[in-house]
Amino acid sequence: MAAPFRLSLDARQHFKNLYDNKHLLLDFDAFYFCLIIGLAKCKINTEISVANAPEMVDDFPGPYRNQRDYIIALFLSRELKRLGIEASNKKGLNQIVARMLMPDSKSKLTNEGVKCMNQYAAMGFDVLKENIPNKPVYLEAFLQSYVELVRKL
Amino acid sequence: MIDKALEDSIKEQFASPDLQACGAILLRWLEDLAEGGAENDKESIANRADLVFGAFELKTTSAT
Amino acid sequence: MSVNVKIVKITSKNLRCPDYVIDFAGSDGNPCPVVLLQMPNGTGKTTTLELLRAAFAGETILTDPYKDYVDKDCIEGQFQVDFTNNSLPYTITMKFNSDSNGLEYNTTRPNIGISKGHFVPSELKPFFRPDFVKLFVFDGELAVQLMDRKRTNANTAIESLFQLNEFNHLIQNIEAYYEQKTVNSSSNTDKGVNRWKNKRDKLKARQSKVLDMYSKDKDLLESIKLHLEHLKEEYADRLKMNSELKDKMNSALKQKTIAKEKVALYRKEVFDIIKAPYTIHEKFAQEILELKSNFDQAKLPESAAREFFVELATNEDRCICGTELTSALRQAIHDRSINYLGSEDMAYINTLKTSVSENVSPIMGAHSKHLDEQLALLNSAILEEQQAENEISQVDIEGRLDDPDLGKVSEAIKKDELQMREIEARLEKYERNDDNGSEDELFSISVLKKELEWARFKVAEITKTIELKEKRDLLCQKLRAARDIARRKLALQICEEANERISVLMPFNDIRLDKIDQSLHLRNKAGGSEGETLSVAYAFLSTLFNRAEVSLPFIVDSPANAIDLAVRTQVGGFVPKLAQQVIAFTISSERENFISGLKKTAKEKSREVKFITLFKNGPDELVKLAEGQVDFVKSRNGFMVTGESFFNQFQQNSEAE
Repeated sequence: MAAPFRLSLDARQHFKNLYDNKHLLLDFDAFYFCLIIGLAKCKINTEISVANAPEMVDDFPGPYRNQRDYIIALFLSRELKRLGIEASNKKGLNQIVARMLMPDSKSKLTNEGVKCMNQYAAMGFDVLKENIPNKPVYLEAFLQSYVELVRKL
Repeated sequence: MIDKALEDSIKEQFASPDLQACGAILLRWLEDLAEGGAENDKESIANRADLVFGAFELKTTSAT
Repeated sequence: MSVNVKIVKITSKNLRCPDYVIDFAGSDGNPCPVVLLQMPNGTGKTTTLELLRAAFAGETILTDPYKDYVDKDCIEGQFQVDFTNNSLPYTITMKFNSDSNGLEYNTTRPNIGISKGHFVPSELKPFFRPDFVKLFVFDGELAVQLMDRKRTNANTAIESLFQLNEFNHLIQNIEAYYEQKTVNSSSNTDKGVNRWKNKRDKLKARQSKVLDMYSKDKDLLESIKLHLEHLKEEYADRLKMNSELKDKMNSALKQKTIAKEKVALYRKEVFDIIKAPYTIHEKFAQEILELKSNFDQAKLPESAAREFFVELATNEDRCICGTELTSALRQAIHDRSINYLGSEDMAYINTLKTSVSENVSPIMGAHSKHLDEQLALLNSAILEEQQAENEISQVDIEGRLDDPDLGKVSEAIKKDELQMREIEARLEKYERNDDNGSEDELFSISVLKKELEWARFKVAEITKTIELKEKRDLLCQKLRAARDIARRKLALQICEEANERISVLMPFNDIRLDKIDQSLHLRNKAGGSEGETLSVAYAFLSTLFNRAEVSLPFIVDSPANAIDLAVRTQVGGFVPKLAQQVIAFTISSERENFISGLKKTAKEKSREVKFITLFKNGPDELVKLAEGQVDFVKSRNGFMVTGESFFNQFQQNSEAE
């Protein structure tokens, strides 16, 4: 059984207005916003609550399917950085790849890989709330400040 | 056949008008059990018990 | 009558009692109502009685090792009882083996034939039990036991004989029915049902309120929409008066529409772009390219895949370097193989590398530049929309200056629009399909409906369960009461009737039964003489057996031996009335008065009496006398004579010579 992506209820609620006015349609949209910020910050949130957050899909849905490889590539790269594994450390590289990737699974990730992504997303939400505390109302306004934040981190 | 003492005691316990029908069913059941002729499969027992339970309504005054 | 047992024949061969075939048939071929079996002490009377009990109730009742029942000159011996129940024939055979100390039962049943083992028809099971069988294959010592409250024979006798235990059977069935019907119910208490009733009532009230609010809000929305339409018409009409303003307004509205569409377009465009992470930040693009490069440099995926190492560890004797593979080495290779990529991992990494090289440009800022361009377009569209809004407001202000009432209309429009948005938000709450509020705070109509249905169901379910429980309790209570009352009544009636019989048996004795519960209680007396005890026991058993709807034979050992001569006549008169078939083992010394009493009653009741004498050996004159009888049988080790005359002449009280 593939592990599902997870995002806290608080995080979802933060984007509620955007869902209500149908600027966002997929649960994964909110997850992706948070994930990218977490990856940009290069930190994870390891609290137990992350593992128990409400489940989502176990795969990259819809338009994210085409971007899966790049999201995974960024994720691997950030994880190597987070763990301090140098490019020359072939063994370390091998290990991370072996631990995180499972080509057989829908998401191409192992359960550990999915869990790690969830932890990045959880951290990403914490950082987002700190920097853009107000719940976004219109996506067009949000996008600008979001991109700025990612580039700042 | 069961001894009259058993028959009388059942009739006595189930003497009130709202319990008589139930008492009659129980008496027949007791007689069948005593004669070794009662069905002993779960379904038949449930059917018989259905009749017993369905034969009377609870009233606040029907206790004892 | 479901139980009507008569003994037809008993057979003994090669056992420690003499060999015999005792046929209890009377002159009409049916089992004779009264049989007197005269067996001197030492002839195996006790053994015969013991074997009879064991034939009915099973081997647990035997007191000696099985081999001891076999004649010491033989290896195998057999005891057989032929009896009928409601005229259906049964045979129980017990085979003893002294070598193996073994005992084997065989049972012959109607329509089944012979089977190995001891099988008792179900209607006879309550009676063919070790403790009950002693009541009808009567042991004189039992008379004392009946008086002993530590032995529960008296009550058990009543319970079994009158089948009071069927009440328990009935109660069990009712309990089982209740359990089965309520196995899925979560509660059977008033507290449980009240909880659900409260919830149901709250939900009902809330549903009512919400539906009311929903209906009112829908009506209100309609009326506001209508009102807004009129206001807008009025606004437009007023503006029309000033054609310049009118044109400006139309233009501004058009601008606003175009700008809104642009905003939507660029918003979607930007959102789609940023789904590819390398577009958001130049750093991300660079890192992804770097990762690919690192894979290339590390020569990942490697040509040696995980499978290679697993195969090596499992199937090869030597490593590729030539080293012999011990089990420790194999395990180490196996464990470490996990650090290497499998062939599927390799395939995916190749795909990943290809995707990256095909789509991620190495040109610095290529992607983020594109994103920035789109963001700029989006911002500009937002500004356009804002400008159009401003233009509309400006026209509105000018219009108000021109026509003050226009301002009022404009304010009214704004107010209505706000109110409309509020109502629409509320309606959305009523119409959605998920809602996590408590009973008092639910808005979703569909969720309320579901919750209310569930609460109603639970109330009904628990109410039904409570009802079932109360019915069960009532039924069981009444059945227990009926059982106890029946038991007491029976005990009382039997006590009274037994006392009447005792007064006939012993008219000059004031011994009487006081009550019957676990044991027989004598009035004003702790116990009686052996004779008194026996008489009381006979009176009790006689009452018992005559009253019950079951008919069992009564087999008794020396019924009058311990009893005074004066009482013997009475006891003798009693015996034929004890049961429909009575078999009494007697010795010659108890004949006096006993036989006369017995014959008198037998004649009065038109009951035939059969006289059988059985003995091992004796003085020659006795044997000659026996041989001269019409009905004389000689076996390997005994003699049997049927007939009253020989019975009365027979004298042999001491141990067989």
